[in-house]
Amino acid sequence: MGSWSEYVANVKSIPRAAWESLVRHGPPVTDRSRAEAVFQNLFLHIHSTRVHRWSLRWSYTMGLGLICAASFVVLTVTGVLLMFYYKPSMALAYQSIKDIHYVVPTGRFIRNIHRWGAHLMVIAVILHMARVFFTASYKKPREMNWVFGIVLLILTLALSFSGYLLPWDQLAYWAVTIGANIAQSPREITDAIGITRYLDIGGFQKTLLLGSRSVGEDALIRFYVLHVVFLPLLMAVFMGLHFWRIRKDGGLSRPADADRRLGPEEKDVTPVFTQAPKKSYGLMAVVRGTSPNVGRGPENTLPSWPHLVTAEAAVFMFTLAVTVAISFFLDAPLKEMANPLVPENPAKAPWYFLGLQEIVSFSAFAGGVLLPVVTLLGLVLIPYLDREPEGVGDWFGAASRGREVALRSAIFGLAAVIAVEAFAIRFGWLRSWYPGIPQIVITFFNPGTVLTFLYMAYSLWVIRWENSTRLGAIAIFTCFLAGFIVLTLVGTWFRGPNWEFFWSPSRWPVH
Amino acid sequence: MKKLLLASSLVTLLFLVASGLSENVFVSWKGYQKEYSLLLAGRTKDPERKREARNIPIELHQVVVPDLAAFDRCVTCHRGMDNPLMAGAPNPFRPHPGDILSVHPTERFGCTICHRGQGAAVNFREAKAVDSYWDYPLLPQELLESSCGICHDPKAMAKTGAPVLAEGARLFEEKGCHGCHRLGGLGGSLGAALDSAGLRTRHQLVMTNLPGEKTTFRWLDLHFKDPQGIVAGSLMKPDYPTDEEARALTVFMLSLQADRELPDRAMGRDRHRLLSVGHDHGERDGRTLYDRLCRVCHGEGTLGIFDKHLGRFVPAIRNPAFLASVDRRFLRANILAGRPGTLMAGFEGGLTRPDLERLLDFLAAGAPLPELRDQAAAKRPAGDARRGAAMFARQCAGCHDPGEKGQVAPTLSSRAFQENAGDAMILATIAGGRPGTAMVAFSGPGGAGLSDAERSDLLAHIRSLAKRRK
Amino acid sequence: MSVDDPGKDVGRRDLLSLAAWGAFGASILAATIGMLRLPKPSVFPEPSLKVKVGPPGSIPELEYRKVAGRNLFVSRGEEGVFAISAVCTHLGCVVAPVPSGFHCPCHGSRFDALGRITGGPAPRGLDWLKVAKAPDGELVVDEGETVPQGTYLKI
Repeated sequence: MGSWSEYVANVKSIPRAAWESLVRHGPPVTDRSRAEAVFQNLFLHIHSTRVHRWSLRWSYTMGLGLICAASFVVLTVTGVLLMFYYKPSMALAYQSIKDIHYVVPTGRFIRNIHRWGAHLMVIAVILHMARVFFTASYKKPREMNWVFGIVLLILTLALSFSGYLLPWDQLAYWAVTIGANIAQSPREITDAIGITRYLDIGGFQKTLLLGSRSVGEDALIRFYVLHVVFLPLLMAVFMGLHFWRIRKDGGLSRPADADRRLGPEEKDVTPVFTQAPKKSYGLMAVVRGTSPNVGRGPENTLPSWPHLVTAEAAVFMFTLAVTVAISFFLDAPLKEMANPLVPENPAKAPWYFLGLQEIVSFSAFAGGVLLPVVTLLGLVLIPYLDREPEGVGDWFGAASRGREVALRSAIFGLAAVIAVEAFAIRFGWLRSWYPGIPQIVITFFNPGTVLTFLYMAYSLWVIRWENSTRLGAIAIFTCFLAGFIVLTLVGTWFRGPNWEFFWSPSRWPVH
Repeated sequence: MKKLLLASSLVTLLFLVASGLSENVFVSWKGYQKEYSLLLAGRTKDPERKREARNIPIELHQVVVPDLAAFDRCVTCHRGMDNPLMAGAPNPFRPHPGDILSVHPTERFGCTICHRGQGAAVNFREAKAVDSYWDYPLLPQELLESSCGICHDPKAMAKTGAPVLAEGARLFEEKGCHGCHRLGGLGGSLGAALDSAGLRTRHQLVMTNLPGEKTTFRWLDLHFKDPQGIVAGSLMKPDYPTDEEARALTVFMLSLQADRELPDRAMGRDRHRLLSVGHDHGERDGRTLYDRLCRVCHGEGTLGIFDKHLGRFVPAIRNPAFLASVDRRFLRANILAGRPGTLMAGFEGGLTRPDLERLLDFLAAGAPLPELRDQAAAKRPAGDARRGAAMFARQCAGCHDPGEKGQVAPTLSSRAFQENAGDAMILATIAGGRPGTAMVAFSGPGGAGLSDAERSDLLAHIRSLAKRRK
Repeated sequence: MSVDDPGKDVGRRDLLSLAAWGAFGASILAATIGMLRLPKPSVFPEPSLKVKVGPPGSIPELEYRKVAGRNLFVSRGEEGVFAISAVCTHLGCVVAPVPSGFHCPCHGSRFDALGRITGGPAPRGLDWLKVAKAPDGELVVDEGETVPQGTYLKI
């Protein structure tokens, strides 16, 4: 009978026992159980158990990295949902998007979230990069993580662009047609040297991208596979690397005197590990940077649970709130079904490529290949060219002249790009004056390359004048950011049919 | 941080709930279905049926016709479409008018094949799809007959349901539209070919000058009434059609959808024949061909015309004096290749060979028109091209503007002219002129008094233009 | 004092925490409910299950007519018109008409001329489908609605 009552008791205690077998630590109210809450959980143990108060400062990170990650999660979930109904074929793709829009339960809302979330992610990634740059967080030991970040930037843009084709509407078709021909633009060079017959890099790239001569069934399948499998997997791998490196590099960057500047500890912070821990974590000794110090006195860290986890949840919900709010009011664009016989005018790439399209309007190779490669290469090289250790962990390096140089560079960058653009719009460029001029000349001498040259010269001058590589880096990064913003705005708002200049889209001729 | 978490969670929750409500509660089609159910219950006597009507489930409906790629959800709101009980009810509840559904059941044809519009949409604004991103907005009722022409021969439908369409097809021929526009293998090349004119989207037409809604059918209607007002610089002759005529022509234009791929089962037998033999079956006599192809510019063809609209003289191609100066080979070549430098565009591909010969027979009626003019008259001492050039610059270049595109008169250096105008013909034309055009007689009574030698000099110069062209 | 001492409460769950995490949970729940609704289509992509089979006079007497493009037979007996589904009730194969009734090629189920089960693994006879008169006079068979065997539409 005893075993019977035991059996009954067991049945009654199933929920409790199941919970205890799932969560092995007690309620997260002590230092120890809070630490366990983090490292005993597969999903949370990517965090260290304690996080420095500097990393939790709002004004420092602005949560931008988290917004990127949160957007990726939102996009993955909504993307998988859309795959239930999306049919990647020329005949059915557009119809299936219409179905998602009109009759799939929650379909319209989820597509809106997916579309606007993608734009939000691109913005967040660019801002996150700017944050990391202006707080000098790319410096030793975080050089490689900066490089991973650049890879993530490229993957984000590639993901967004590959998704652009899938609705198979006019917007998609012509944007991708332009994109594919930009991929073909190395022909500008090979044609000029006369080796296209033997080494057709451009043609190869376009064929690789489209799988055919023009945007069609094969291109759609390729973009689909890239968008739903290949690029997301790469993205996940590099995100993992990125997060892993954050911990291996000693958490988020912070100034050397962060503890002093943060002032007295918060009430919540209590001495940790006043006695030796039950287990020893040998790995912690291997980890570089400032990690929780075992058996030492008080320091400015807080337990990750609940402080960091709450912050992450808050940023995640913030991202979601912004996305659903936009998605509630604005429908994702969907134009007429793709029609290869009726070009869109103007046919515009996604907004983040419009700065490049502005330069592409002079030379496809310069805008589509040369400048992006130079820019990305420059970004990758920044941590290796600027190795001054000062100023890490502060916006513009609080003590130095960084803020002033950034401001001056912004003014110079804006002035230069506006001047060059205004000149090109008002007076035209080489082709308008000498119609017979060989394209190769324009490839290397156009507003884009002129601007790049100006910015580089300015930055080198700053390095010499201020005798600081960090200030030089600030100068060129700020200039490029200003150039990117202005060119993107011009491409978005001031370019109309036939890529002519208009003060506002309302002045476009009606077609 | 917790405040942010709380605030954003609440905002998210708010919009999720709001989106759920707007998708499930505040949708027009559900309201229509409820109204239909009440209306139907009110019109039913039998209590059993009454209860049934009240309990009709509220759900989306659609007509799926795979081979027409139709997913038409119009029936979600138009519930009473095949229910005679709903006669006299307001839209969207009333039955489909006419007995057209008995021949074209919705299950086999869907809705949008005839009505156009966006069948996928589940609200009226987007189903109508005017000024939205959809190529073919809902057709207004008065233009619906155009859709009959997708599968049927327009002219065969005068008494079988589509009188306006048939009238449009008749007007198209009567007004000589074939003269510039090719349709069904017949017609000129000055204007656009119209075989798929009904498939054009608003992005393929110049909408700048169209006031109001930018739809293709409004464009067509106003364009027929005022071609130059809609397309600045259009060469199309203003015909000042009545409202009814413009509507009939618009309906006919919209019906032209040769490029549309349709399953065989949808096509009428008459339409198959139409596609295989061209738009006008059977033989055409010369008179008919002349009326369709030439009259719109040349008029009766017996008197030269100064066309104010085109701003130029149009030769009298049936005038005996004209016919006396040309030969059959020259006319044939000019009809096929056109006359460079003038508005006469070629009919190559728009006129069968037998039709061309019948047309030539008709032109030549009453005047001898040899295959080739006698070349003997041309056997004379060759002229001096240099002297001819000076004379040409003085007398002829004003209209013939050698080497470049003549604005008023034919370009004499063109291959079409040089290869087909015999020496005798050129000399005769210089001497006698072209009655009714700006080309006056340069010899003989009332002429400018050019001697035979001078005419030979001119001829020599004109022949030298051919070499210069190369 | 041990760090494991639950009495030492480092971060008491205050009301704000509770509200914040509660709202978080609620919105995730709402989103999940919304997402779970997505896989169930609100309208099916196939042509309608209701099929018009012609006016009553066109239905053959005492023999079956296969309706084009559909897996169903219509016929007319003395009692009226009826429709039988050609889909085997066992595992959904399509039965073939034979002189004695219907045979299923997949697992050998046999049915008599009125669709009653006579052999094989099928759990019940072939489904009889609802036949109704459309407002325009044609007969409509609804493949989505079965009726008890022996239900005829009187004409």
